Amino acid sequence: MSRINRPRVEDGDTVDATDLNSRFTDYNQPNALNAFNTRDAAFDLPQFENPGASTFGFLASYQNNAVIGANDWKHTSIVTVTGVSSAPPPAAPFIVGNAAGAPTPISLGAAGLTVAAGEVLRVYWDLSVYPHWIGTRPWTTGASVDFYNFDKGSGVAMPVGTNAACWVFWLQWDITSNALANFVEVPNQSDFRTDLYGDGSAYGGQLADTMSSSVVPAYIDRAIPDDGLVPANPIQCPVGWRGASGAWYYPKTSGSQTIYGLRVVFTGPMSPNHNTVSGANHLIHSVAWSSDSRLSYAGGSIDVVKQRIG
Amino acid sequence: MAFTPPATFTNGTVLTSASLEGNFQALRVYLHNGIIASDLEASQWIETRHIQPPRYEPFTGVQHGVSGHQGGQWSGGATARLTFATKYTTGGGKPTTSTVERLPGTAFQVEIVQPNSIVLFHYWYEAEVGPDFSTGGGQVATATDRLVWIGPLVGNTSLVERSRLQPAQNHQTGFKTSYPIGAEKTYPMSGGYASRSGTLTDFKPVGIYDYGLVYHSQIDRVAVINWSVALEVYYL
Repeated sequence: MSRINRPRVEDGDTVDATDLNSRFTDYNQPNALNAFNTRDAAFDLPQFENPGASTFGFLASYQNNAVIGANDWKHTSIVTVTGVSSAPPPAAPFIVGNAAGAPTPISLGAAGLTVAAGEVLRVYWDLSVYPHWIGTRPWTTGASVDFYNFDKGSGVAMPVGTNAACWVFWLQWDITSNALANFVEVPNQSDFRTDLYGDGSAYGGQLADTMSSSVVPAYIDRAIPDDGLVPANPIQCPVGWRGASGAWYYPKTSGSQTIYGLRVVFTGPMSPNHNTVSGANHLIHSVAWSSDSRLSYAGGSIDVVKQRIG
Repeated sequence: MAFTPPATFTNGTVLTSASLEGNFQALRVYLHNGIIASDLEASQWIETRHIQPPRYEPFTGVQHGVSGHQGGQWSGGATARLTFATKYTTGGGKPTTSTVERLPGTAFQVEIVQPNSIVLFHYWYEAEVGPDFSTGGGQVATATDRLVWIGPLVGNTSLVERSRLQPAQNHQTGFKTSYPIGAEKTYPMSGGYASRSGTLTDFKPVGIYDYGLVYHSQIDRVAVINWSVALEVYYL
């Protein structure tokens, strides 16, 4: 208990330096203010320091945000990439950057932001994206894993897209310095470059390692059956401009971690895959038609908040 | 800041009123916006009854306590409050316009009573976009290129951050030109379905603020069939 209980100075008392100093240092009590002060003795809200531009808040102790990507909401100045090629292992992920190609990470300051035990980092982002492709229904290419074969009559097969292919976005952080030159995946997040079967047949990541991931569809393919047969001409439907968004939480239960910056990266197109041996579900690179796939993006935002838990 | 008296007294030296008053002044500063996190007992001792006598605001769906606001609104489930966006209030579909308007019924107002509060505003919505294959009037020429942007409102529409607006496209295929005119296929199959979400964080000074959704539309009819907004405000 931090109650200050010192007799007042009475007439005739001798006040020496020690006694006088104690009457001030009584208020210097780190880690001492408790239920007595806030309930029985009623410290009130105005007596606590506000977070302000500092990081002194103790329910929410830090907030920051930044614009990411090519900041052009009408999409006249955008960034466009071609899907990851088939050369194994897959290329490193694309880094969300401005129209000139410069990455747009969020910096958490020269000294970084330290997340201590009992705190949680909350990260949110959104980005205006446009998945598209060239050609006609390229996902039905022979080796593609992104279509089913249906009967369009007389036993003739008609490939129709699974509508499961996607582009995947995730977070990287730099925990080395504010130079922001050493980004790696955040905890529990794959870079989708793992040789999942050990034979080079499929690269990607397990769904268990997609903690900060968000996906957007790569295409829409439509074939409405009629009398048990799919039509001879399925329709490819543009996915169009859309908002992609994600959230990631980093609770710290012991120790501490200093983070200097975060950024959004992406790769694709990807497809779902189930490993019948290990039982794991994967997202794997869909390379058969990746050279025909495109992803454009414009601008968005990334927001960071640090809070105390409990 | 933690409290440290600026003057330390020593026996045998002259005691001045200035040094005493300096210590008193430092104490006043400490006791008015000076207590920091490290002054608190490290082990958990706070219970809701200690620091947060809550007040629930039935109209906004937000609970206001000593430490801030928590709560939100949603479209209401079975009693859904459908809402809409339309090009007729944001430039008639002309590509050069950039005005934004409030998405009807999605905004609510809160009073922030402490300076420099940390705010998190969460939003989500689900929309069926178009179809709008109307012609003329200087609109975006190719109907399937028409978009609607919906995003967060903080304060008033003049303060909307355009980079936070998230787009969705017009209904693409399966449009019936004969009666009944409209979408022939479902919106997810026709590229006109949108489900979007996001979170905006901010510092806010003392004031009364509107939080909700805004839009800019190049499409005549955008049916927002579900939505929700939620707010976290931390005074400390």
